[in-house]
Amino acid sequence: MKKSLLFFLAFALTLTCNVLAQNRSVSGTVSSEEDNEPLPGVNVTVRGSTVGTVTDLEGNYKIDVPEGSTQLVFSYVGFINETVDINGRSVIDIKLLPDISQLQEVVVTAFGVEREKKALGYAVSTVESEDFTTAKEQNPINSLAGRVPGVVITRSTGGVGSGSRVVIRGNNSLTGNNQPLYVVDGIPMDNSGFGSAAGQGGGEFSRADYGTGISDINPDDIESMTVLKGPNAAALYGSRAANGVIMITTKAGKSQKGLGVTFSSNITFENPLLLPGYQNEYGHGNNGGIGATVDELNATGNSWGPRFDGSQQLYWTGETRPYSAQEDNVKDFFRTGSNLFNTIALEGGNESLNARFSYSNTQSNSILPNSDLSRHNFNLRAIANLTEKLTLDAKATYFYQEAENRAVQGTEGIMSTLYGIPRNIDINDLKDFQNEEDFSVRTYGPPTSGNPYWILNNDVNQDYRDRIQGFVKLNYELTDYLSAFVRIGTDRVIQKIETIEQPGHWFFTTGRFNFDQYRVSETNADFLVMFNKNLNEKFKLNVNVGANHRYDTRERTRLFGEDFKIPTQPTVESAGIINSEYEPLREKKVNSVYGSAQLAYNEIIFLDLSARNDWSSALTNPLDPDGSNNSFFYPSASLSFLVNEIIDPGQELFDYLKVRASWAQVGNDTEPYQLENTYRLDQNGYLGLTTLSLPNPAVLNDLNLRPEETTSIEFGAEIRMFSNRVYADVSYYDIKSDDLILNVPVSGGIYPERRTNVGRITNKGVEILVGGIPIQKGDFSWDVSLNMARNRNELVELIDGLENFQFAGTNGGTVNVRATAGGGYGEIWGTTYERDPNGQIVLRADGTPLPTSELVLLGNYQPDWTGGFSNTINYKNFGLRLLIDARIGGDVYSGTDAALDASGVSESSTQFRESGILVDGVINTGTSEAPVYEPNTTTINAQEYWQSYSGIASNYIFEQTNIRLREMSVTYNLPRELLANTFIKSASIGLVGRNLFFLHKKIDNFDPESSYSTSAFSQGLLFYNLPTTRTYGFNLNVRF
Amino acid sequence: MKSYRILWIALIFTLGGSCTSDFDEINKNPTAVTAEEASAKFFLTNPLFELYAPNRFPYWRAHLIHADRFAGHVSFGFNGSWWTDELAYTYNPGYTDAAWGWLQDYVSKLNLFLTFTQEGGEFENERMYAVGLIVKGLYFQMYTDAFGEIPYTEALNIDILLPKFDTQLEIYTGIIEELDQAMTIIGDATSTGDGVQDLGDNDIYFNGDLQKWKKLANTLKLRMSLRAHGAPGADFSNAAITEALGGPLLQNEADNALMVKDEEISQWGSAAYGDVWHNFGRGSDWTLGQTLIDYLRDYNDPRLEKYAKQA
Repeated sequence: MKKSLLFFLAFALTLTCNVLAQNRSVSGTVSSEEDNEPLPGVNVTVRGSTVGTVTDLEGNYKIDVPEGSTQLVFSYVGFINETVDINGRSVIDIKLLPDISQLQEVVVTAFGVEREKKALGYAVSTVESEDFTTAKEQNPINSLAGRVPGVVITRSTGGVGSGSRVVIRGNNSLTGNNQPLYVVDGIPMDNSGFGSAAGQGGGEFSRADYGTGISDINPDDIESMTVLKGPNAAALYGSRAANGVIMITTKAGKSQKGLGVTFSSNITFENPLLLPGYQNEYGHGNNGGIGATVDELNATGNSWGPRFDGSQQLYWTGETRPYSAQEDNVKDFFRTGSNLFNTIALEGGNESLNARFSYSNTQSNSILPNSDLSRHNFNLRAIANLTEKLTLDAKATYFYQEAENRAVQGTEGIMSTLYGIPRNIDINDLKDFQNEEDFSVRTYGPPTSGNPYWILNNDVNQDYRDRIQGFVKLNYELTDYLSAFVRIGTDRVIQKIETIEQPGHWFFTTGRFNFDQYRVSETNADFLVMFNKNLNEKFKLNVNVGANHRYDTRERTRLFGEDFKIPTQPTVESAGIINSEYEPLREKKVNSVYGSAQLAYNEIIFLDLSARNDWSSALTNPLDPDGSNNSFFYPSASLSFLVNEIIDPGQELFDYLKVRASWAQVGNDTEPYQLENTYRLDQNGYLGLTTLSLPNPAVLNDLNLRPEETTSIEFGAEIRMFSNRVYADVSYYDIKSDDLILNVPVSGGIYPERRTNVGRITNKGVEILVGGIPIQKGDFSWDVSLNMARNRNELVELIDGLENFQFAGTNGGTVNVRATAGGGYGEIWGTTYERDPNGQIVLRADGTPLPTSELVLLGNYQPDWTGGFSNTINYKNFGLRLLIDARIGGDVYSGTDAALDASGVSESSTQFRESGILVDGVINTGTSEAPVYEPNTTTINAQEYWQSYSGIASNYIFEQTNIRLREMSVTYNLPRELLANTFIKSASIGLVGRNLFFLHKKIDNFDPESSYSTSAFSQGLLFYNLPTTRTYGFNLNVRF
Repeated sequence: MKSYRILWIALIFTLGGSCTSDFDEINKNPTAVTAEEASAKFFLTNPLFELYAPNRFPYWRAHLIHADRFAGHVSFGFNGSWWTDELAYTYNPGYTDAAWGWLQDYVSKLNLFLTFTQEGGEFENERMYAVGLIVKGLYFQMYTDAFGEIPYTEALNIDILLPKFDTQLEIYTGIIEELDQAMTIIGDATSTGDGVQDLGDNDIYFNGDLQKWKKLANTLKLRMSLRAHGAPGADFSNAAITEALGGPLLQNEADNALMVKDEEISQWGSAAYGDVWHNFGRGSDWTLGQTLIDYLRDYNDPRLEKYAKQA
């Protein structure tokens, strides 16, 4: 206290001196060169003196200039400093030029601490508001695709409101979800998804995706998104940082004159980007014939009939129709989807209070005729300077979402009844979808052919999500070098999912429903003390110390009913059998203390050290809490060195040349209840008896389970040259994850699996970003940036006796996805052709190809390279943005292609129709022990060929490689002169498009970046996904 | 400044230290039953019924699709049947492995009961252990008769990740030894104990009657030694047959190990035939096989009309 008093006295004295010496004043307005908007808060100082002031809300200033002073200096964050000669003037108006390089130099790091980018010893990437709002995505995380090197985004194709899988720098855990932690305004957010698409387990039958937490954020509220890649940048977040952190900063109000109103409206339309190519030569039938009776015709639902000739032939309905192709029968099922986003934001404030309120409304209509989603986001943020030193920052967000009929994907999903429709069937004839007597499906083939309209109407779901997020933060400036904040924030979600299968369903003939409700919450309370001081002329020290308490809860209630008394009544009262489940409150607590210190030398060398210790309840042994491995320490260190200050102090060549290195270690803990061995009381024991069994899944728990440990090393360099016209950023990283938590299958014993720490995964990679401003002339500018990332992943070791870990397998077992010791994560294994010792294909006795009984390695779903190429061109009032992104390498197995070949609708299935095929191969006429291979002499027809060919998985492995136009927009800013006499401050209108077309791809029929799951499971497999969509539309932004 | 530092240190310790006091409490699953709350008999019922009436997955994929179809009991692959004609006749690991998977996994449930009741176990009870040994005999005979060499001597050892496969000779002699051991333990006892120590209702074969278990053990010994008789190396069979014939055997209807069918249990818990026929729409739409129908008709077997309805 004494010190500050002294300081105040000294300050007061100087002030008095200045007052005595004053003899004239200068006033004026400071505005931005870019948009002529007045700039409030600009520092105006008299060069060579201590006299200074700041501009008011309208950009006005007035300053007293002491005798002998000749220049004023204007400085403002984000703008280039301007020094102006006074020359005896009393009014000086000035326009400041935005400093693009400087704007990007301040980044938000862990705990929301803003740091100069040059001081960071690790890679961070920031994506700004414009990238989210120009060509809007319903799920804002999708806007990161192609913009941030090293981030791989795979969207689930689950239709409106579905989630995405985000992996930064590769997969580090076998059983963990490998997705980053999301932090919104400093508060971690629950990103868990609900429903089958988010879960583990590999069923390809039916999966619906209800979206994950991140999709609940309104893109219009995002100020910026910062990607802390991997542990190096994120170590301070402890156990959840192993997969990196995505930090979202939302918009807070700006001080301004009066009320600022922004209205933005975005309307887009969408169509399938890519539908399978179909043959239009052969129609409904079997072995080249149509059948004499309708029963014979409908014995199969395939397109193995004769060649189309337009003649009158038997049709599946029993009528006679011209026998010809319905070329667009699949395409016509879809409608044009639409998305309407409207956001209105009000902001205002003065020196002591800023507030912003926004309301956003989204209405999405899927390309599926009955699937819709509506969303409402309410967001209120206020920052108040309660006293000179005490600041209150608070936010409250309410989100409500209601969706109808999310697409169920997979082999029993809706696309499984659409893609294979025989080529001569008019889709309109299927609209009468139900047999009146028993509500069963009315279809062209056996009942298993299904009817997409039956599903639309009878296999339905509805879901509702309420989400409340908010925080209160109090920041206190103790002194000019010491400040502290305390904060409490929460994220609470209630998710309700109702699914109904009406009577007549081919499996659940008497009807079935499932009403599920989840309540999930995460609350964090933390404080941070920040110390920032120049130790002497050369050394500067910055220390942050804090602690966090995290409290997670989860509850679930479920009602499951079957056997409807009244077929049209899917209600609890109507259900003949009712089962209920209740999962009581499940809690998890993590306490953490952490600190970081940065020592800067002469603004050239920056050394960062951080440490964190977590105590997790999930790793606390309930039987022996004191002996638990529940306390974990994570250290990190990084170094940044500005080489240009040494080799080029005058900044003649380099604006900036930095090399950096960092090392970090973090852990990954687990879910609650994973330690103690307990038993399950069977709800319905045999004959109603009390029976106990092993939990499901039956896993032998380990009371001494440790967290997974990830250690990461990173090196990098950043260069800026020619007055920021060219820049590059390169990183290399090497991440090792040890002690993976895994359920190891055990052949004997009591438990089929036991949970333990095993093995090691490594991820090594390179990230490159180059860019610049090749042209900047008058009204014209062109910004370009190119990024590429490559990740190499290896499961170095697992455990003796276990060669691989299987993520997902198909029902028939022809394909599965695994991680193999010595190989990688996400390997696709499947059947291939059986071959004799001479390499000849072995056929069955009937001349059809035979799959191997063992599975072989066919590919890996992880891409080799990902990258993006973005361009921004501005000319006068026009702006053009173009983003191309690429995924090179990586494989995918398409079960859909196999099914299309088997049912004779695919283009390739036209081969061998007329002549049949004598497959070049051998037949084993001996025994399996003593084989005798003789050449095949049996010619088979196309149907026999394709139906056996399609059972060989290796025929359906495709490269994911594709390059696409991810985003394109043209924006026109209405000229200021036009708006000069209106109440409108600024307005722009744009034409936007996303996911427009492929520039190159290696798979014919499907978007290789489709997935029916957001979990680590079921990636790399396509089973009747919904097509991805091309969206295009308009964007309107108005500020009042 | 010093006072601040102390304050922060105090805060850090409050948060980091004392708040972990309830961590053990919240990491206990409220819906899970711990060994202290349980009794051994509750763990016997599931191994008893699952050996003969498993849940739908093995019932479909092992019994119906493979064994019953091979025997000509059921047929599918016709128009409207969910299962294709090739199924069970082409190698398809998802289906073909189901029989092995079911029998391999079964060991864990039985082993849990044996581990609980063995000497020094959580619910040590010698007679219950004897019952477990008899069930073990029923199980391993079924398992080895289906697959030949299987893990037996090391199968119940928790510490062995990949137990070795034993010959049928080793398995048969091993089981018979264990049956003898069980019969010796039972002696003249009629129940496993009183109160929770009595298997009672939870024994869905004999309602806790140990003398019937003893008869079952001896009868199983007879069946196995008869089955082994004449096999290479099966020198034990003559003696075992003589021993078994000298002991008590299941002789009349009252001795039957009769398991009452649960008509209400979900197909996911247990799928007995009556349950699995019509409860999954098209999924369970198969029909009786020609072979079975012809056989019953040719012999005027009265079971035909119980099994089948005329189409």
